[in-house]
Amino acid sequence: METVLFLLADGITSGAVYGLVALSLIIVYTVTRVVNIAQGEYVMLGALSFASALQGVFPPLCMPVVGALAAFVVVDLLNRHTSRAEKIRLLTMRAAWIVGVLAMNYAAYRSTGSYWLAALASVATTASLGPIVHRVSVEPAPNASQIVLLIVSVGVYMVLHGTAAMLWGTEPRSVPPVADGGVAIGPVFVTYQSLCICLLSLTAMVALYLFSERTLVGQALQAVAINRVGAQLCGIPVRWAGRLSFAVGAAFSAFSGLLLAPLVTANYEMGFVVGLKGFVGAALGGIVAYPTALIGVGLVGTIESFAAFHASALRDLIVFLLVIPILLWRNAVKPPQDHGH
Amino acid sequence: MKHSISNKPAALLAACGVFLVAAMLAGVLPPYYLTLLVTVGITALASSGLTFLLSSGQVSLGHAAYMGIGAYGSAILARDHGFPTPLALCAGIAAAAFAALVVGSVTRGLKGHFLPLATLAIGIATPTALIGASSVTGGASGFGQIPALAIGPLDLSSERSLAILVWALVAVVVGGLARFQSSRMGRAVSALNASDEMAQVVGIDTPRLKLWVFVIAGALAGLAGGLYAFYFKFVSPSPFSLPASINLLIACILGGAASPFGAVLGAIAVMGIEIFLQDFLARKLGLPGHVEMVVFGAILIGVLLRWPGGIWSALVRFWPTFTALKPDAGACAELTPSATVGDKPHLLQLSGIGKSFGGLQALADVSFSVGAREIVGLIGPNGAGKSTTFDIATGLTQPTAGQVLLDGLALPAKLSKLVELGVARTFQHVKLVPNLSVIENVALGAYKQGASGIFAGMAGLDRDEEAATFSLAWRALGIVELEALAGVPASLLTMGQARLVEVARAIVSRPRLLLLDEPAAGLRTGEKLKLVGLLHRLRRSGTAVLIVEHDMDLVMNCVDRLIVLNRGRDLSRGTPDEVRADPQVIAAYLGT
Repeated sequence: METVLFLLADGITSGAVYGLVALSLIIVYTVTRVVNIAQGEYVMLGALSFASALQGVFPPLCMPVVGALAAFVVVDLLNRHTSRAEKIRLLTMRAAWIVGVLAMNYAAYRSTGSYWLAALASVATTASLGPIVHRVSVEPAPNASQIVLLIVSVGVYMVLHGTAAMLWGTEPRSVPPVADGGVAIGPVFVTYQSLCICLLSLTAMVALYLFSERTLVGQALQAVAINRVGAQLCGIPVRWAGRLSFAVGAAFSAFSGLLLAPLVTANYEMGFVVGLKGFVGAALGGIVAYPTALIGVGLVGTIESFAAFHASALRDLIVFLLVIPILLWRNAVKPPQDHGH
Repeated sequence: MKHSISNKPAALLAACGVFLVAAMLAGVLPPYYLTLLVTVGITALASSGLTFLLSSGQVSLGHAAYMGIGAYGSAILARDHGFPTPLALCAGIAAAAFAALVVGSVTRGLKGHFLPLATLAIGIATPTALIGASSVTGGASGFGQIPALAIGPLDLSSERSLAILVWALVAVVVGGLARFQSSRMGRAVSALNASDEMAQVVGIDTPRLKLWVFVIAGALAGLAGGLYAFYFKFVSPSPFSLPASINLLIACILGGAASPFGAVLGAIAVMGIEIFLQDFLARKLGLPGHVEMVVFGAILIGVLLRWPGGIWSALVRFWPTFTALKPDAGACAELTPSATVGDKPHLLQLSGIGKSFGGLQALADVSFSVGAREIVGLIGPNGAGKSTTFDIATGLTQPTAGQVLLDGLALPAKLSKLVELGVARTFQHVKLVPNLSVIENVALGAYKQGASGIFAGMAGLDRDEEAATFSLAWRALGIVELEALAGVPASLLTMGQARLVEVARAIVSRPRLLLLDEPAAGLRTGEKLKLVGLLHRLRRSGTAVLIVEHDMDLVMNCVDRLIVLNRGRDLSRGTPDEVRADPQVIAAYLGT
């Protein structure tokens, strides 16, 4: 019984982390139709940025991100088709963005060991990478098919993965938990880190839900997800929606990286597997429906921890083979609708 | 020969060229590069299967799994069970094909993104299972000492001869697949990708064909895997894991998924870029391995964003387009309706049809019939239920009440059987295969009059049948007066032209009953006149027509009888003059 409860707690903790990644995948997929193989890399980048900020190193990701943003400022200013007023608006916004990222990273660097500043800086930096990636890898070919975009995202994966290995090296870095120790809930001892993961994930998910249901921007994203052309005709800039979805996706993934890092140590190879589990979770919940995705990832986490305990060699086999009957069942109950592109 | 179809010889020539170059390289390359050559060939084989799969609108994100099954199957049978090596290879291919058959039949109902996700799961689960079943497979470290391949007296134990065999197979497979693209079943596979409904309407048994394509793609991966095992004489799970699957997809997309030759180009490009990066970045500049990965990723992104159609799309202008020469005037086939079964007064009869979507009653108690050699118009204001009636009449939608009879019999359960009974239709939203030429789109309508299968198309054993098919297609295209556009890709047509091409596709099947769904929408005046002439001509030839249309003048000018629907019910019926005078119709159209 205790084992079962322990495994359940363990499963829910991993499920919460996968859940954040699943939500990132979902928001990116629905808005842009990109099945983003590179999503797990934001998890890794978030975790590694966090680790270096905590160690008192200026986060190495900051400068490339700021550099890319600055390059876009130059490109936008050189564009002859934008009006002067538009250019000024863009310039101010980009400048604020660049200064914001720099300021956060500098603050985290100066007050070494400040947990929350480090978290803020690493999430903000990684989130800024999202729109950059969208601009470079999705926008230039608006009519590319889904499978081409998928392979492009494999290219993005390679670039991010290799860059991370160059910036941080291949050594894993340990990250301290938010608080040592834990609390006994009934017969099970649950670490504070696990509790924190569950609570923060839940908060982030509720925030995303409120954002997409209650705010105009969130509604605009949903409109793009349902019908791109229709949304465009209503005056929603689809390109901008894509960038925003990449930013939100990157932020959520980075956040899950921060939460995961104390459990597994941050290293440049951690992203892919987490991304894959997020995929499975999103599949179980249906890539396009948020709340059911959570049940999906809870299931993945739990199945995984039980399978690991009883038959560790076959853990992944069990997790991934379970996907198929569940997909068949979901397909029979409510098949996915092909939205207009 | 009346028809010279010029991209088929080109395919043959290109395949021979690929083989000759590879065979020469296999003769002279040092051992290290020989291994690379074989690896490229094996990747190209598996990727060409993937290209084939993509061309049917399906996808497999875990295709290396079938390679693994082929490799382990052949290797275990040859090493542990003493199978002769060619037999073991065939058994490995069969095992991979069977696995694809099982996976395909389980997952073929999956819609949208569910199919890629399911194949992804298979792609991850299979190598894990290979590790798990360690008593047979040797677990994660795999096993070696696989015997050399020997086909009868032909000894293929030397690596050079095996390399030549691999590339001979690449040439045969890729050349065959390229020829297949311009064959009866090739057009059918393209139709699957364009629209499942349309494919069924022209008579393609879509679930079955999709499964066939999946099985062939699996078998090709199995062949690649078996060759891998016999070349390297060692297998382990890692070359068949998820990264390997992704690698196959990269080769396929980077090379260009529009042509099987894209798979070869892609496999060469991937290997070429890797060698170049290793040589240049690592050896010359002494940079660490991660830089290679970054540069490779950047090249991949750059190439695909510049040419979303891959390398092939950059070369395609040098490739001859499909041409089917027009036969001499005398040799043209005549398009007359196929023989009538029995002599029933009513060809199509709808009685008491009702349809509700949830709580919405779209149709209630609609009854009418279409007799032989009769043109019947179905009109009504927007939302009257015309399209629903139309879909029910063609078996696309099942009614909730009433029945549809064709020659006094219920409609067949399979939509694809309908064309055999002499029924053809067009769509309100035109459904053509955008990447095929106009004449090929029209030829698709003659699908049921041909019989050559997938392998006949690959081997080019279908010449006479193709000649007959295209003779019909030219005739139909002549009837809609669009012969000048025969070689143009359907994606470049105007709305009016596309509608007429759809009509031509429908009449190629020599229907007894033709159903036209808003054929005049988007047509210019000249085109409308052409359509009216065409309708009269069809009636003279003995075809019955049911036409749904908004354009009153057009309908009034050419139909024998009219059925008027309003709010899902029969409002009026009769000759055009009677309907025009009916106060109820006037009220429904003009409001009261």
